[in-house]
Amino acid sequence: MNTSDRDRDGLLMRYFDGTISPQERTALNTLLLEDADARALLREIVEQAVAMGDLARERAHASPRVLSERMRSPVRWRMSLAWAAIAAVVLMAGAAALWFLQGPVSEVVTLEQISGAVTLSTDSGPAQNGLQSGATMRAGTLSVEGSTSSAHLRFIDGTSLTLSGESELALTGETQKRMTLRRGSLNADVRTQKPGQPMRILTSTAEIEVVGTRFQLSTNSGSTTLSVESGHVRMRRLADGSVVDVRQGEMSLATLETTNSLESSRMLLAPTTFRQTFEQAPTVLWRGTWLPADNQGPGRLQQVPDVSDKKSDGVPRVNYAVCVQDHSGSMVSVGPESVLRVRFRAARGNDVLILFSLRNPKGGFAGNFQTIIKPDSSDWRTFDIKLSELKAGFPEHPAIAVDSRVTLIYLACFSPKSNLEVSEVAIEPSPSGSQPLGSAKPERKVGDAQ
Amino acid sequence: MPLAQEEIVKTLLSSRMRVLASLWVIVRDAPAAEDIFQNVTVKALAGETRFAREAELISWAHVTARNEALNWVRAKRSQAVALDTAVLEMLEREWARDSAHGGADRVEALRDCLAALPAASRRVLELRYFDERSCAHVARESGVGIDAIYQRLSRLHRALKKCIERRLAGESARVEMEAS
Repeated sequence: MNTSDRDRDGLLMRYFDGTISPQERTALNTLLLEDADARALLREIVEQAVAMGDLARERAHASPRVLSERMRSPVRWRMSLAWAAIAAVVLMAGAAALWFLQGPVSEVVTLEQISGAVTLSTDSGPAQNGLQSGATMRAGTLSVEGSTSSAHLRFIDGTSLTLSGESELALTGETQKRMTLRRGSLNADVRTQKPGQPMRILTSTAEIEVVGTRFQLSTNSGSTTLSVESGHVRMRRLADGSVVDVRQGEMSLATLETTNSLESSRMLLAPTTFRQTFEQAPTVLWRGTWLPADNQGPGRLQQVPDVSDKKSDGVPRVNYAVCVQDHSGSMVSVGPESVLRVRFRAARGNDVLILFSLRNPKGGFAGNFQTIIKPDSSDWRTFDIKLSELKAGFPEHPAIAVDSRVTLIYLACFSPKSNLEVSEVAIEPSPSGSQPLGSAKPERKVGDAQ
Repeated sequence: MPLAQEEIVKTLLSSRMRVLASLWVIVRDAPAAEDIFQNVTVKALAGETRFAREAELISWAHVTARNEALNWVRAKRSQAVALDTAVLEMLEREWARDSAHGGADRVEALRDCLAALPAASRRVLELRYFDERSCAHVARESGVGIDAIYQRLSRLHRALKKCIERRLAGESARVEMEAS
């Protein structure tokens, strides 16, 4: 080995060891960019290191008594459990496949109410768009697209589920209710199930078992949140198999992290005021393109496309929206006297939809409420409205109850050229100041709300 | 027709060693690399991104893994110490192109080659890669300087490479060390 090889090897080893200096790192980057042999050596060393990691794990599983101290560390255990999570996910995928491969199905589900873009996919034919309320299904996958879309399902025994927002639910159609919530959020009102046949819902991180209760379930790739309105629900964390019983008024969160025990807690208290400006980029709960302050206006969110509905041929109808979605129930608590303030602008002649989605404090769906504003110019404007003045979207939820929790605030136009931008969204518990709502402010040149 | 969950799992597991290798280059921490790979798998299964073909999924997995690994490095360390993105992308391309190195066969060949090593050499590799000790720790345990450990590890990796190639070609496991 010549001096040049020795220098190269030294650089690589110091990089892997974490002792490389900034100057050496620069030299190593240059070397790797220019020298294919150096890259090949790096790849070889890395592949050997990864393979030795696998052999170490194999040895640890085969001979637990001879584990080194490092192998007994929490980090190592966490890794083992992480693989348990992968195994669980693999099992979940396999189980889902098996469910769909099973024989004749018996349970008919009625799609009682469809709102927005809802698609049904089954093994027996092409995806069905443009579903009408009253349609029935047995097994298949329901996809709800767009922040404001929803699907209300009812089983023969009276059990009902409401899927809302960007959600996807796969049902097996068996007598025992078994389903996979792949993403999104559902509210469930479950009738008492037959002995030994609880309803089961799988997510990427948890499995829940329900005998008869009302609850709300939200999931994404890394976590599942369960809130129980009445009765109790058993939740099992897939990563380590630990189980918790979540009772009325409680919630629990199951992630892939297993260093903390799986527990239930009282549902979160929500503030009665809320204010969001966009001088800084907002959290990922918000949808919209963030623009920093400039000579066009303050920091703001600009509209992004959001599917509102689908035609029967599958072509989506699109809104152009700025919105925030949070199913935890902790964003803000509102009542009929609460006042919404929005500062926004949109191209003249474009209607602006403002929509709220609510849940009750125990987790159940509590309705959508909306209004449409007709701006008469493209200037920045501030619009205030008491929530009781919003129009109910669901007849079974005609009014806003005290301590309703906001899960969605949605502002949208209906044209890609509407240039909707929002710089502030705020909620106060009741009208403040001496000015009545609707009174003129320099910016408030807003037409009538419908 | 997007890939089904079973196809996603199968594809990711078949690419696991390669994705783990590209992660290890960045994080140089085996448990962290495993955790990130697991997160990528769960993300892929969550269905937020649809994959029409396996190649699309593998490409997505590499990019997602790289971004998560870089975030991990940024969160853990006070200064950026990962390789430049251009280098990482070049390595990923070469890993994707070089599909001859099968995962399971290679691990088996490595197992045989490790068994054929002298005990002292095997001990150095076990401390470094099985127990994840730093090179300074390995040097102390071995009673030599850290540069000597760097050189010894380099020679061992070269020797193992030749041994693995021989083993994959059907020959017996034989480790021939270079002269110092």
